[in-house]
Amino acid sequence: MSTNRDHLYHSFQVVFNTWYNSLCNYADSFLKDESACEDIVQEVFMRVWKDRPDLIETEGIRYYLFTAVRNNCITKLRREKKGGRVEWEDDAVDYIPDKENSPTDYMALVQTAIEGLPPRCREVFLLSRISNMTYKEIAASLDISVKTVENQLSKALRMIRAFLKDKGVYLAWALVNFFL
Amino acid sequence: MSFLYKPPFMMEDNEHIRLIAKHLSRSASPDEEAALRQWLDADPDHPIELEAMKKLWETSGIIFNGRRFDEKAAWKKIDPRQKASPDIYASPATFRRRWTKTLAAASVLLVIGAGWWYYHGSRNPPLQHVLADGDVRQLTLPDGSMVWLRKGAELQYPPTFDSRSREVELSGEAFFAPAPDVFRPFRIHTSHVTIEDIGTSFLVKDRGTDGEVVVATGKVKLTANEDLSHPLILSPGQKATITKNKLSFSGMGTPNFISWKTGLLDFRQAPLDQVARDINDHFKVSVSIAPDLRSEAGNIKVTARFDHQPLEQVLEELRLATGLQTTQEKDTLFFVRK
Repeated sequence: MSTNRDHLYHSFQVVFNTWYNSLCNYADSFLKDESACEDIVQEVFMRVWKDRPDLIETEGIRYYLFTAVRNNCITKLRREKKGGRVEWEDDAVDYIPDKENSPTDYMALVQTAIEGLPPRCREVFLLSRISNMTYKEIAASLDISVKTVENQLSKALRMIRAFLKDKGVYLAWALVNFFL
Repeated sequence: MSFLYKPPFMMEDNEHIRLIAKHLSRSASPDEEAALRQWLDADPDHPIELEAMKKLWETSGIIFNGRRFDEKAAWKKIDPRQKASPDIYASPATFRRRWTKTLAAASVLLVIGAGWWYYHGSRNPPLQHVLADGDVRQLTLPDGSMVWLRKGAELQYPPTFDSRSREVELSGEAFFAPAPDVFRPFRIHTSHVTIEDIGTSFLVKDRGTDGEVVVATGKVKLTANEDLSHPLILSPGQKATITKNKLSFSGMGTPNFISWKTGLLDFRQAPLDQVARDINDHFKVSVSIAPDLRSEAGNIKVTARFDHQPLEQVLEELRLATGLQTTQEKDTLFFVRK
């Protein structure tokens, strides 16, 4: 017969399976060190079980996990004085990929386009795509305004779209899918 | 804060991108959702543009989640119920200090529990099986999809979904809000019917021999398990009933089809027979209309809203609103004339 604790354990396992991979990828965007990423994410989960089990079955768990991972990564980078991506960088000059050598595969092109995004824009876009959080949650997690989130995400889409259009792949997929 | 509506043909090229981004992030206000719908209807090219944006959005998600980490191995390290060892909490140093104290105290309990978990955990990961024994049980599935199970409902799903589709099995009643995933359709198997998500949120009732599906948002495709040739596609508000493997479209569901999840009963000029049905369903009681009142029941309209209120309060307000009485006969409550 199930007890409340069993339910909680079960939910904890589901949350873990759902977000472990995304959180590691998120940590990786800061640390560029796979085993360090996993250590941090595992520690965050263990803290949740020990200190904040009340969050496990709520909608706020996602915000908590992503924010905790980011904070731990920044702390680690600061402690190791590695520099890395801790503060907002100034928007760099837009990177224009080399036309002749660009791959034609849709996914590879999106990847190239993403690499060309200004750093701040890419950071917000990355968190949005990895966590699927709402604007409000992203703003709270990164400690920026909702308007900034809105601007950066619109900018990311505009830039990637422009790049894909230029390569002639933007609409091709959509048309195939639409008329299936 | 009011939203300045611009007629679609005057919408700036970038405005639709702003709206689509908000929509895909579930962060658009009702005004913005409406503006987006207007934009979609304004030109046949616009839905195609939305599809292209969605594809871009989904693909970016896949790219950012590029590395595969070994969740199974990681779970073994952090599973709170396995036999503990200090090595698990090895680094960093502060970690070790915090955890070994807790471990010493908990080790007795863990040993008792560990034997059972070790035995079960050493097989292939079994299907997760959830039975809702409380009024409503909320779950998050491995892909982030949300499910609300009503009391008595059971759901089975794998610890991680397949790369080509996401399949779950349901008996009883549940409300689904599947996470969008263009590459992997979300399918719910019930005893007679398979429900495939094309849109966003919907209710499924499986009672063994028959059932119902009502769509809240988006679109859903239904296929009878024993007759794949006539799938049915439902839009928001629409309801289908399933009787002995036959699917039939049964018009619009009532707005109260998920009152068990929201706690809200909302009646707007609702005929009395529908009110009785919704109360039956929500409170799980037997409420009916006296025989001599039945022919008129369709003409008695009720407008009222109940937010997490107990049955007695709801009945009292209905008595006042309709001018009728209620009497109890055996275990059924009847609406009767005064």
